[in-house]
Amino acid sequence: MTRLDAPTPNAEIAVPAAPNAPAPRRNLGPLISVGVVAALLALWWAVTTGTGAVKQLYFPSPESLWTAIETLNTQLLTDAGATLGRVLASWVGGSALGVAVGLAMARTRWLMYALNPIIEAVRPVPPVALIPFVILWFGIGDTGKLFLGALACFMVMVVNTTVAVGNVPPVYLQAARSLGASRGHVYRSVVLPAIVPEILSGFRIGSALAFAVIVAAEFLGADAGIGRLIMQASRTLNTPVVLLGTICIAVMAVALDLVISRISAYVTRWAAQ
Amino acid sequence: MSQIIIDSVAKVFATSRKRTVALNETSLTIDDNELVCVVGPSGCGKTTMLNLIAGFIRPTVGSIKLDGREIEGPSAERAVVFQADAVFPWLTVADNIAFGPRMQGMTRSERTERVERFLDLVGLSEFANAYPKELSGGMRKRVDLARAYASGPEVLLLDEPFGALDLFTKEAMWSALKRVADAEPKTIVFVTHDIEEALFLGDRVIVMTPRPARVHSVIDVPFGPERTLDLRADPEFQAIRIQIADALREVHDDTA
Ligand SMILES: Nc1ncnc2c1ncn2[C@@H]1O[C@H](COP(=O)(O)OP(=O)(O)OP(=O)(O)O)[C@@H](O)[C@H]1O
Ligand SMILES: [Mg+2]
Repeated sequence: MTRLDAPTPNAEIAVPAAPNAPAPRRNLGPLISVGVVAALLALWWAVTTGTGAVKQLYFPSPESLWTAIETLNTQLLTDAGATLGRVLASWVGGSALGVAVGLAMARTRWLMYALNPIIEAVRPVPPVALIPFVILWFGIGDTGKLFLGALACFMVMVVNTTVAVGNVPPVYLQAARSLGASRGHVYRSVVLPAIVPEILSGFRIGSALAFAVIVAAEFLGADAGIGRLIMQASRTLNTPVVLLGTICIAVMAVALDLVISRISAYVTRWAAQ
Repeated sequence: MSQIIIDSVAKVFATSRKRTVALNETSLTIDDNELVCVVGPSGCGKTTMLNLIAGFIRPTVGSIKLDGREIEGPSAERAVVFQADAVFPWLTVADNIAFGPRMQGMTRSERTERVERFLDLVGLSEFANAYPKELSGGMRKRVDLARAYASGPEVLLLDEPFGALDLFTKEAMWSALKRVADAEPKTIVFVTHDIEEALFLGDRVIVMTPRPARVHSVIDVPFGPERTLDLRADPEFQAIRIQIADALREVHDDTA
């Protein structure tokens, strides 16, 4: 019998690199990202300061942005801090409540029937549409803004949690039962850990939504906040400050998202991918 | 003692559109510490039978008893290795195996000792702290087997556990199963489509009819507990294999 698996002599050179194979390349991905950002910054400077093709009113130059930062100084930090504080408070509060109610609904049939119609009716309504009512109910203080941000996160998390519980493979529940887990144990030791990845991705969606809602609410008046800063600057057509506020929101939102995604990558390191 | 008596059981699944009789007039007695292999056409009701013994579903008619007690729901006395991957992905290999012992309130030291023993028996000691995603399909099945065994059941129900594995991995799984079964004998019901597997592992092989599943024939396997892979070349082994294949062909042709 001929052995097809006979060892090749010099097995270690059995697969020589083909002479015309592409040379191993470094990962170009990050370089491309940096390149595009640098090109955009250069273009920005070129069309504003460089050639003056775009008027200051329509899009401010890098220099005017810098001037705005210097003029605002600590006020910018106060406004950013106020917005971030509201976002964090409403996000944490609304999400926690959303997960709790979602878990209760997934566990108790009658609660699901009782709350589901309300949630399904409120869910498609953009939270900002409720701003007039919120001002009537809570005035223009912090309470109303926190309520709106929390409501947005709550809606995301309630739905996310009930769906996640429904997605737990039944075979996990059966396995746990036949290994001696009581119903309570199945809940704590199987359902809760299994839904963690979906809950965390809900947190990320919620955090982005909280920024959108809080800033919009601040447009209508606040003692401090990026939304207020942008609105006030726009009344005097102070476009550098408007742009600065926008960038400020982007930086904070990206930073928060990065923190959440880092934490969730660690917590769900067991999940495939 | 852990004898299973299935007594004229019927199981009917009724949905709004369809009524499926999965089992009808099924009777079977499985003795203490016996390894029974069940073969039968796809969709005949084998998984349904295991689910009934596991207590996940209740029979429509008839009764299933373990040691004279009616089976009323899932319990740690009957562990299951499912057809699908059921290893918990959020637990490490060691924690998966410790799951049963933990649920049953064993102390930490008892648990560690048990986990180490079964890790060793299924040859996964090196992977104690790995997550299931880092394992191959065959390794995950070994974790599943060790987890079921470590919970210390009286009965082990296996549903085509090695169906998706290649021949050599399967052979390794057979030895793993034999090792753990020798270390702690149990009453085992093993569903499979692989006749050689059934004959190699089983004390008896049960051939089921197409849906609704009933017992078509029972083959007593004449080989002792000491079996090596060479047994498959034995003329008697081959003769029985053909006998089972013919029985399956016969029940299959009856419906065709
Ligand atoms: N929950 C259910 N609801 C409705 N019908 C079901 C349900 N479970 C099983 N059945 C039906 O019962 C019959 C037997 O299914 P079962 O899963 O027991 O087959 P099986 O012998 O395990 O098949 P296979 O060898 O392919 O795994 C099938 O016709 C199936 O459609
Ligand atoms: Mg099946």
